[in-house]
Amino acid sequence: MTHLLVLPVLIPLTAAILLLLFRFVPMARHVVIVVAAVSVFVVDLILLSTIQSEGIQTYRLGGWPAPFGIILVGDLLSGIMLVLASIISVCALFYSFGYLKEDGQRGVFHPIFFFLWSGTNGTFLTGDIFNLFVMFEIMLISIYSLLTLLGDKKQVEAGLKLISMGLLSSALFLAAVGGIYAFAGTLNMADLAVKIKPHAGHPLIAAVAMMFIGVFGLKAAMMPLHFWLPDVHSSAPTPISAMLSGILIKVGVYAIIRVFCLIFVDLQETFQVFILTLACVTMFMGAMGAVAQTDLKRLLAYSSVSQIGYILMGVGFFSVAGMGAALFYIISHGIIKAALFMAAGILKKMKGTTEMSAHGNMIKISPMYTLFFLIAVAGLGGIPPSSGFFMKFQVIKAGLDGAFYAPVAVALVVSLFTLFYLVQSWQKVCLLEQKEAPESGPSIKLLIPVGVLALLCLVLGIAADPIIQLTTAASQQLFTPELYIQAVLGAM
Amino acid sequence: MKLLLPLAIGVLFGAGTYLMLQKNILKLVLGLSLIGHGANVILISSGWIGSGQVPILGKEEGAPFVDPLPQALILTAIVIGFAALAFLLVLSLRVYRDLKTANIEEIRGQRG
Repeated sequence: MTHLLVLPVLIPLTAAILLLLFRFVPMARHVVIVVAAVSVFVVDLILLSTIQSEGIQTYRLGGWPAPFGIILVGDLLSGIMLVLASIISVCALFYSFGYLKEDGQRGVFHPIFFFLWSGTNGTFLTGDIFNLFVMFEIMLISIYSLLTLLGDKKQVEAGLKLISMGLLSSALFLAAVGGIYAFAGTLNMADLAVKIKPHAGHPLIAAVAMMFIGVFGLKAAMMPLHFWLPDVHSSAPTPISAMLSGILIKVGVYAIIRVFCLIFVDLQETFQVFILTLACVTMFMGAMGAVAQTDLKRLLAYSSVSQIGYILMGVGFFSVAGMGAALFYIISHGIIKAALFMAAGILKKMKGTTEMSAHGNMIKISPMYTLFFLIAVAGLGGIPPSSGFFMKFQVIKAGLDGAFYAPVAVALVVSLFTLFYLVQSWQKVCLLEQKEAPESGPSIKLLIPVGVLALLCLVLGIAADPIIQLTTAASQQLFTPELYIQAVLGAM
Repeated sequence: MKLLLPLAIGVLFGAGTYLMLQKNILKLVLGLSLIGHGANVILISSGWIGSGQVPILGKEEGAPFVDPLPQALILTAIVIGFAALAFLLVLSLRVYRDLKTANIEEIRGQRG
């Protein structure tokens, strides 16, 4: 048994503790950050290729066998999410060096950032429903403190909102876990799948499934539960906004996929109409909210709500093509939205606000900035050479294949709105003349991560084929849950 | 016990929801903590409701044992809930000091 699977959780955790110890030694902190970030990134890549070549990996924590101890499971879905998380985290870390002031802010920011990374990786790897709850909480508590770290009035208010919703969702999660444990007497997800299979029609199971949709939908900002997102994502410090929109709302989607493709396999059809309807409403209302915004970061936050609708739609088709499309969408949207938030953060650094009316003429000030911003806009709008085209194309194709015409129609209309509000914001910020020129252009430290992410978006579009093959393989694996169960329980 | 525990859970959730709908920020915090306790009681009741033996091997044969796992789980849940609640309390204090008000609607009005 190799210890590869536990490293994505263990390395950031160790780094966080070391960073707390070396809080007042900047040199040591920098070494720890670079070594930890690079090694997590490399480990995630190795893990993904191992899973690809050797199938699903499992790791028994403490050596306890499967249904009794906590088990870590790495399948292709986890592998993909881990790599995406590390790409965005590395860029956000790099960005944070240019964004935060040296005086003490970084000393607190970086340790908590690594706790957040550890918790996120943990949610992707765990194979135990209660451990999922614990990992969620590590992640959430880190977000609470990162959000309110700079102590802005807006941030504190958004923090109140986020913590209240977080506590409520944890209570609901616990109640759901209690319900399912009372029924099946196990917490291991693979074991739950086996124990629940013969009782699929039981009303308690449907109730618990509904509670899980509520809990994870709250985290993913599914429509009636999206109210907290625009405030939180727009007021957070920019590296955290990029993390929140890039990876953390997808954690909710990941959990929905995991639960419905493993534990509640037989309830997929029952919940399909429900999920698809909510996805369409989310998509549409998010776009409507975004059109009305004058603040770039709020616009992007509403746009995240809208895009989550697309991802949920792909999931809601419950077909191999639809799930594959949703996974590709998750990767592509994560990269593009992180780039866009970081681009908005550069504006904030230049003039202290992200109101679009305060900015303009970026094409003269910084042509590179304009180009990167344009690539990201084209990506989210779905213009061909970028990865955005394939993400939208695949979701819509999967919908047509499954004869879901109404959701596809909504998706097409909403994509027009997406293109409209994004191009409009780009034009306002980059092309319009502005009398007050800013004192200085964007700093190169902040531009590099935006450039890297924009480049990735292009590469993902031009060389989309291997990624599509990967997501399709992951989706096929998800629709044969026997493989997962075999890998976990067969190792007894 | 079989009737008392569900009733207690209902009362905890009901009182918590009522408190959350009030305008005072401290009542929101208290409401959230009551709902958290309600969830903990649900979790512990999934182990056993009624009279069960202490789960120690070799004490008495034949009688049904209480499942010890939910008890271990709620210990974790209580600790996590405590941390989040402490953070929320500190944040509320911060809001009160900054804005000189504990009324949620006035706090919301502060956004620019």
